Amino acid sequence: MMEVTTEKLLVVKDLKVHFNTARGIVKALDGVNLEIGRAETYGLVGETGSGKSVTALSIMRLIRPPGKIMEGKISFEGKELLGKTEEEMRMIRGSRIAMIFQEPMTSLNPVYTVGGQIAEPLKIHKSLEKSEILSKAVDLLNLVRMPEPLRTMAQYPHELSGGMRQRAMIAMMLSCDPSLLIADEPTTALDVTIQAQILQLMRELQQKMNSSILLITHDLGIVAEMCHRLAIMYAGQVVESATVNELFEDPKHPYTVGLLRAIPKPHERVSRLEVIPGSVPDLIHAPQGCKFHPRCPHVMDVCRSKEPSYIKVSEEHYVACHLYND
Amino acid sequence: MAMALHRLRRNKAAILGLVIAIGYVFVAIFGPSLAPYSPYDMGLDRALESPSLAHPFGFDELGRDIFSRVIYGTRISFVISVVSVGIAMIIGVTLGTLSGYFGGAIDAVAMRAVDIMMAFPEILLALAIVSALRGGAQVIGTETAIAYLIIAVGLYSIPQFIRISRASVMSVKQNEYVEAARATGEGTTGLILQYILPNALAPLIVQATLRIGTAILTAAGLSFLGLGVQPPTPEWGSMTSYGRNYLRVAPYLATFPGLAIMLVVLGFNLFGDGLRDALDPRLRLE
Repeated sequence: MMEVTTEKLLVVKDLKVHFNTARGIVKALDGVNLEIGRAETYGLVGETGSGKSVTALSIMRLIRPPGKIMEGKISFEGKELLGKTEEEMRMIRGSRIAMIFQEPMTSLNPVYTVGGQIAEPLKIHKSLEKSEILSKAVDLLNLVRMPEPLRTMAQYPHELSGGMRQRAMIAMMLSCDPSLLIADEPTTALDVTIQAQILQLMRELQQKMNSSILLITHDLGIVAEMCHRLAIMYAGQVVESATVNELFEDPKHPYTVGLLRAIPKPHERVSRLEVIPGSVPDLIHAPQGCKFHPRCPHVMDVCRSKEPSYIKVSEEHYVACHLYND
Repeated sequence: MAMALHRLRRNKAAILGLVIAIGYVFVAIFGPSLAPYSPYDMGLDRALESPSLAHPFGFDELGRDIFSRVIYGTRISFVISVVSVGIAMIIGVTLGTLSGYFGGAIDAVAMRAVDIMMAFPEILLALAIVSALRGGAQVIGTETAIAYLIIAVGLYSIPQFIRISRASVMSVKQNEYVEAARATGEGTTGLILQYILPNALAPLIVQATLRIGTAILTAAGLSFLGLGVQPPTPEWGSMTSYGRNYLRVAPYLATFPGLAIMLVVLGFNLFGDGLRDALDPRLRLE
């Protein structure tokens, strides 16, 4: 694995994003903290609705009404993103930070050829000759190991399979050498063999291009395979973050413990899978204190009234839980 | 797209409509070379003469060859319908797209304006617009009359285009490829022109085809009521209107231009319906 430098590429601090709905204010993110180093693959794990995708879209500043970034800081390459104008953000999107989406079937424009679309970020961000753009696009398709790059250039998205489309998408997003690639469940919609190929490809490209990846997933297996460090999200907050080894060896937060227990183990015969009792809280009327307390097996009085703050377990390992208060 | 073409080809009614529409456009363009006689040559000695081999539609009250007049009339109705629908489409799609994409105040204003326009029965609105444009003038030139018809028919077609493009844009902008394009740093103009409009176009093409039929009908209707093109210019609506006086002695005066209107409108409607079915198979009743 590649050496991770300590210099931070992306720092998200106390990020709060609210959605104003008819039912009330949905606190989709309620103080998210993340730190991603250069050339690092960082996993962001959580259930549906825990705020993973909202975090990603906030970093891109793509949250649209009724959603709004209420407060917090997002610093990227040492510069604060939240103060930037839309025009300045446009220059960053696709060129410094790129994003791969979950659904390769629908994330390419059906009316243009694949070649034309891969070239699009280059047209926006780089002033190149038309022939240079085209040859760069072919190079990119070669890079993502598209079987027949020249033929694919002239094909329309509906002529490609899901895995090929995701390759095309990755090629498009890598076209301007971004230093951060956000991958929002890039393999969820693909079948398992294709999933493995795409992950392998992403890992290789990351080493080749030396960029960081923020990998959003609910699959802890993928995280174990791909990431250096990860953060566990619950109800719009990061409840625990650590290196992959440490988190899998020594999970601290009761939610993380529950998640890891819920993974079926092929060598053990069990009649029922372990579950975490209860379900994800309603983010309009989130529980007081620690948001996990109604489902927590170790709940204490203090959990019902006071929000836990981050406790440093070891270098790189933080947990937000009252259990570990001295 | 290939699927859509295939479905269209299998639809016999739509193909018939397409053939009629193509024939109509052909006649409109090459009319003067196709017409055997001048549409203006009068001869009172042959007035109201019945159809014959040489003059298949007969003569009108002033002895003009009706067949040639119907052919010449094609061009006028073609110009009016295509130009008015073109104008309506440009204005309507622009407003509808902005309204559907940005929403908010723009959308609210545009939609209320559309509601107001749609509250009028269509022909009444066109009638009011033409009357207002004409003012008190009794006699106006053919070009002016055509221009007025284009404005009237164009204006009253705008609301439909606003509604349809708005709805289409609202659904297209939810697509993930729009979000993905935004994530590559695409600007608003690029998003609308490259990602949203091309994908929102299908229902608009259908609407334009259907609208051409309606435009032909409305323009002819206004001329029939005496608010459009006046004789001696050969126009189907006014020919039908003047022929009406001779319905008992010489029914062919009103019948042939009337049939021409019916045939062309039917053609565009059949083709438009077929196109809609081909482009959106979910709507098909089978």
